[in-house]
Amino acid sequence: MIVLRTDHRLAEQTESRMILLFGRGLIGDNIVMALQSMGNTRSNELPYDWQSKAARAVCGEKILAQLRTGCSDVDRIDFIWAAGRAGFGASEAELAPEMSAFEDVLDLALKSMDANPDALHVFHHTSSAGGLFEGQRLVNSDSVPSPKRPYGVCKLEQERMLSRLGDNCRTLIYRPSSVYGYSVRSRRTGIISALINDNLNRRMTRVFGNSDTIRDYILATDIGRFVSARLQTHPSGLTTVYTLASGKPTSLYEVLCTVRSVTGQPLMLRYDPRPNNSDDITFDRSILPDDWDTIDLGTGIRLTLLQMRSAFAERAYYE
Amino acid sequence: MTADQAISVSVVVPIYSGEKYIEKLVEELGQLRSAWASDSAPMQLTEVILVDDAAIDGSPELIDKLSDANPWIVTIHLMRNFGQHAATIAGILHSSGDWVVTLDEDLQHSPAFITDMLACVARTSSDLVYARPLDAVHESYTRDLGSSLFKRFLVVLSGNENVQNFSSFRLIRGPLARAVASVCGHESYLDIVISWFTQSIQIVRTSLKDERVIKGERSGYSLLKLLSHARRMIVSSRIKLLRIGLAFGMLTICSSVVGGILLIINRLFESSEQIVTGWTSLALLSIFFGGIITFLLGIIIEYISMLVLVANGKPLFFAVDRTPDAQLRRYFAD
Repeated sequence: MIVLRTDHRLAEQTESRMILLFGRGLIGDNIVMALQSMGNTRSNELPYDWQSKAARAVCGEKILAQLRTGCSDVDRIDFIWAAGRAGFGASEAELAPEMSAFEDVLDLALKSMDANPDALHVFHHTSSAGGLFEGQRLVNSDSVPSPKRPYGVCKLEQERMLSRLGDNCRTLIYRPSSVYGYSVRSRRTGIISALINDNLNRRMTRVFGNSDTIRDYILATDIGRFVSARLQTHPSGLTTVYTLASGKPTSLYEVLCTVRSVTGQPLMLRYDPRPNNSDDITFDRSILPDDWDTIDLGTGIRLTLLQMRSAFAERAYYE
Repeated sequence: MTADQAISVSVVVPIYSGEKYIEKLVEELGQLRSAWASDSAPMQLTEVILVDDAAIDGSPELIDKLSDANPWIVTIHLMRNFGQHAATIAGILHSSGDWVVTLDEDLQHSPAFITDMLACVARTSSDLVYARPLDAVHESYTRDLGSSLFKRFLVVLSGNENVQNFSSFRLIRGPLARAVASVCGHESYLDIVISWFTQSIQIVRTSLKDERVIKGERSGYSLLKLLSHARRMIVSSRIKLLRIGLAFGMLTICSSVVGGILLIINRLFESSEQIVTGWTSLALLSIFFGGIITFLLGIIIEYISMLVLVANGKPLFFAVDRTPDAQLRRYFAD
């Protein structure tokens, strides 16, 4: 996890803030990069064990100690949950460590509120629009989350658990659709990142689903930018939910054509019907946030390719 | 998609100069939407995608107003005029329906007819249905005759019988529409590209009248643009003419060889006075090598056209799931 300190000018005052981000994967890394690009940010990486509850308790005490001693002048403390190593097809057993870690982070947030009652506390939770609305098309404000698999159930349960934070903590829930992009630390790979990476390495890509499956793809950079913008303003309500999608349904066939066109190389594909991941998930533009802006798929794929190529070149240089 | 889920229909309408017609069109689409809902039909008109192709009248503001009033209307504004095909493709790529209907902005294509097109799918399980006119569209003899003759000429040139059925009033299976739109490029002709994916195409006849031309108003498409359509249709097709060129080259070579043999026989067994010495040999050699050049050029062009088709995304295969058609069959059987 990473702790960031920043001073932010809000209206006529300068507000001192502390941000604790848990989960430096694809989304978490992009949030950190967006924050650091704004300047005037100091960061400190701290260990946080995702497997052992006992080890997490020790890490938690160290973080709490820092919150008690270093936050006397802090006006606002933001907790960001961007973790989730288990993927879309994860089983309940694979999701159990994530749920356990999430409970511990919630406890940490509650202890922080006790230790710093004068600071405004905001909890940013990264959920999953795809997990909650799998199989639904043109999801709008009337749509009801109905997860079909343990991953979606886990995300919905995490959203419900946020009520434990009570009225002293503002909660922002981000529900991103199918996220793609590049991060050095990311261990989960979506279909687009997998296609580009495999294509660069002349490997075959396994596709779980059909070429006519339609999804909504957004670049992780856009999420990072959006979340960092939330960190610059005070949330208006107690709980706000943001659906982060592009509003443009995209078939897998279109993705394959675009990746092929961008990389300039043929794709080697293997279609696997099991585990099934062929349900459509699309979103109506009406539920997207007003100030949400997305990069189009073609440009996003080009950016991801550029980042991957740079990373390969850097690795090759140092090896 | 399972066999029992509702069948969603997306409608795509490219807009260029439709200010006078759009409101009525949206009203008719709304009526169709309500009619299907009240009839408990298995299909739902889930979205109407209006694509503003840098319209030359007040259409952009009007479609935004309609979109604000009707959540099932989606608007896309293109940065400049890209043409009807490009606008249609943009709309299809923003669709999510199980079926996609494309139609014109000027009420030439009645939305109510979409039900009949779906009935055709129920009968035939086809992937694409064109609506064709029962009688003359423009009520202009020269224009209608010209259009008919031109399409017949393209059938001969391209070897694609469906060319004469091409129409902008189409019902296309959703996955097919999006796959086709994904591979269409600058010079692709949408209907030719569709024929790369499926041959399961049907036609239904209905009254289609281009009121704008009939009333003497601009149709929005100049002669130059129509010629551009024709050029793209030719470029997208694998031209039979290339094969004719190859065959001609081969025939020329064979003729020169046969002529040469006859000449040798003539010289050996018959004595005849030649007016100009060497003329025949020279002519035969020219024909022979000309034939070889024609033949080789034909082969080169054949390879190039193959590469172009592959670069344009002509698929090796494309799978389809037609199980949801059962719902349509049950509904229309009743």
